[in-house]
Amino acid sequence: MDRELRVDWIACEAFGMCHDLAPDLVALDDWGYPILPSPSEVAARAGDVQRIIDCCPARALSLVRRDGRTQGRRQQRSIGAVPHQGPRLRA
Amino acid sequence: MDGGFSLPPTRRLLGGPPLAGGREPLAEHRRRLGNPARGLTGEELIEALETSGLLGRGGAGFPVGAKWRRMAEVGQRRPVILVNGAEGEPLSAKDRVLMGVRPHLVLDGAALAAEALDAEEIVVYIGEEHGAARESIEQAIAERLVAGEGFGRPIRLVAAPMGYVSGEASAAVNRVNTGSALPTVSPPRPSEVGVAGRPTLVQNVESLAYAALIGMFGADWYREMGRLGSRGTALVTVGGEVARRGVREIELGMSLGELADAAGADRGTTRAVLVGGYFGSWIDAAEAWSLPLDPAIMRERGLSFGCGLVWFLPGGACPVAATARIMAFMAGNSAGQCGPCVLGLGAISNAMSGLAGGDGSKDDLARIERWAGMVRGRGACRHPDGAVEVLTSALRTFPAELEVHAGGTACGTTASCRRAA
Repeated sequence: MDRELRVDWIACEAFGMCHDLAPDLVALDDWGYPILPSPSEVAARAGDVQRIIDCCPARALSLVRRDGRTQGRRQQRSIGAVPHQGPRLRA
Repeated sequence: MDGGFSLPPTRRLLGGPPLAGGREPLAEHRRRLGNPARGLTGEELIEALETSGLLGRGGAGFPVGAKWRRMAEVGQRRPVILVNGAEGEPLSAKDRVLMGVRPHLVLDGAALAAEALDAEEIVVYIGEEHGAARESIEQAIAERLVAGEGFGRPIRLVAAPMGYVSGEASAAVNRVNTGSALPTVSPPRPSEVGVAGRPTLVQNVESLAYAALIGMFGADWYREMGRLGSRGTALVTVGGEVARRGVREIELGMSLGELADAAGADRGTTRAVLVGGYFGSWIDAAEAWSLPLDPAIMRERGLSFGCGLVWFLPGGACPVAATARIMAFMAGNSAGQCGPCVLGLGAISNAMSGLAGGDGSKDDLARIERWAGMVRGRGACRHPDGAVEVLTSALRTFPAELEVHAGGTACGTTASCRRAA
């Protein structure tokens, strides 16, 4: 499964450790925030990617499945189970 | 209210009694539109929404049927319906007007969503500055309770604090949960983990009002309206240099020129039109009039219908100064959580103000273009993306004016430009 390297932008404090550890993988913008590699680079450099994730002082980096949706079906219940007189659908 | 219709005026978002009359009472609303039940099951209602092609009206334009479908199928817990009436767009008024004059249509949509998805609770989220809208919704809820029309589940109002990002879905959920209207990191999305940890349907008030109408009259009825790719009608807020400002309902696919004429804009003197809101785009008047106000077609052209704002910039106003004001607003309305948004929008705004005031240079212009790329997609929410959208449209639409300003002088030809300088 394709995985994407993500930054938690709220957590990121622009320490720049990711860039220091892998300058050819992570660039920095004008304010010191990371510009991240593409999923194909992430896949090709799994070891380096794990290292920068582990070394981030703000714990702001993570790998996310690209289709990252939680699955699981909720059982369809009959609607209008709670009695009331407002707009009603047929159960 | 000439929106270019050929359909009976009662069955519209703003159909019914004159808007100046204020809130439509429950009895009149029911007399006019009938009961929203219509004997549908929740499944049938969701199917009708999917077939209708209704797109969300909060700005992002996500298909409403697909959103409800996902809520019906995903997750084990009963969801929460978050009715989003936090209209943070400074120039937009359509949500507050809709809540103010047709609160029962919005509440019908909320009630149907709650029924169809077997919701635990309904939360109505309204901007604290929208006093009339809040009062109207409060009175409408009270009116229903007196009439014996409950919601079958708790319903409560939560005030959204002033601010552009307060209405963003994760910010809305965060406000209800913690009191802080700041966006949160996604995933998880509100549709998965929202209010009280429950899956939460965050849906704009206009979208819910239309869901109610589709519940009443069906998907085929909805699809009768719309001239081109997108179906239905939409609320738009018309502002800027026009004779008749305000909220009106248009048939989607209507051309921008037709709306300009209906609102009394002067095609000859308009320099550009801001479409979609502060997340939207400037469009050169030379290309504007033939543009269909149609979310599908606009998307194909890299534009956004957004919240339906249409704002006319006259030839007598400086577009650089106008854009600098928008960027200052967007920078000032960053939630202040994500570095690239805080620092990037701040830098862009400063540089734009400098350009507008005649203190800029060609280097500033180049920096602004580079920073745009460094801000897009780099926040917990889409605030920076939207700000960059309107910025890049300005770079595309006003190259000549920007060139003059980058030469170290304000263009000086217009009153607003001289003011900025």
